Amino acid sequence: MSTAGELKERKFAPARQGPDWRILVSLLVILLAVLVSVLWGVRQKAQEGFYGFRLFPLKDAYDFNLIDQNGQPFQLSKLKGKVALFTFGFTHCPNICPTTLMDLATVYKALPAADRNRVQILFISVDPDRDRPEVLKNYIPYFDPGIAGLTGSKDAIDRAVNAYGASYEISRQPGDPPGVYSVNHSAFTYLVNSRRKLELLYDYEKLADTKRIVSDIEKVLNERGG
Amino acid sequence: MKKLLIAFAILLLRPLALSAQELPLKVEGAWMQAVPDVSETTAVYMTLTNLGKTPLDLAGARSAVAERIEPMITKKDRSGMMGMERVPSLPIPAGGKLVLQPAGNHLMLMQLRQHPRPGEKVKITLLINPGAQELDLELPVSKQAIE
Repeated sequence: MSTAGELKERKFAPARQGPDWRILVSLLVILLAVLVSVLWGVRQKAQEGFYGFRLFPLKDAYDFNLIDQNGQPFQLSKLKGKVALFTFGFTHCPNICPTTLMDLATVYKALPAADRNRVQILFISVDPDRDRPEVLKNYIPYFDPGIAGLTGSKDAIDRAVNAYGASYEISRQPGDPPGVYSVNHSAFTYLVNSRRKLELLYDYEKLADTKRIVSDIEKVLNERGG
Repeated sequence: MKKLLIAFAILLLRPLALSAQELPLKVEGAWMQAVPDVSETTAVYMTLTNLGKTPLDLAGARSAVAERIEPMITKKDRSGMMGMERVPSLPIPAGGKLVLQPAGNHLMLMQLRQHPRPGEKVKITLLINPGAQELDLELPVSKQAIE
């Protein structure tokens, strides 16, 4: 136990011996402010005016090995120069997935007809047990016949999920009948450009702004040749 | 005795659905998410404003279109993973609002018996506590939020 006198002495002793801590702290604060503004500037430049969060540097897009709603193998490499816009979900999803799919369908319809052929919208199921190709075939076209639904082995889906930093988990709630479950999942939409680079990320909440997403897609397609 | 009479009156009133005029609730922008026939679930959205001085709770709903309708909250964790959780009820504070919206709180319709088409209307009865009061609504079915 120290007395008040000892405490006082300890508190003031370093100020007399070392450099003024106030100057050090001020320098640190200035340095931090400069660093933050430089990083902010770099981030703004990397954004290039895009509405979606732009990756910098762009990342090679992982090419998944999935099956489409017609039971055919599907890979990004088969899209040959198209821009891909995709999201993860499941068909038993009551709110997030229908809303996401409607938002993406609205974006697709809002694109100039000529550009629609250069864009592929994908819905990747994270619930392969229930989402068989035939289920997707009856679900996806309801939102837009141009959207492709993908499923596959749990392993192939997990690899795609991990590669894109997505996540999901099966969620069972007390009182649910057996076999009834929900799937919690991340709700980002990814844009892969025609050179198969992952370029833009959209948070779920951003998808309702059709105009700005269409403008992003147009920019990716036209200004820089996709 | 007076209390007993009131209790009796409440019991008598219980099975009757109350209209929006009787419950101090204003319902705005109500709609049901249209889903394809293969879907077993969907959701209903609206904004409920409590014009009264007592807090109310939305305890659920019932409708011919679904086996079960339950209040849900949507949660998002730090990694961006979204999920929902069933709750016994959703509060409608006195003088405040309860907003049911995609990506937020909602009424989830489970084990759908019918798949109403966009443009159709569905009847749904909201269950409001305290007092297990009922509020009949007829709301439009749409693929997208009705502005």
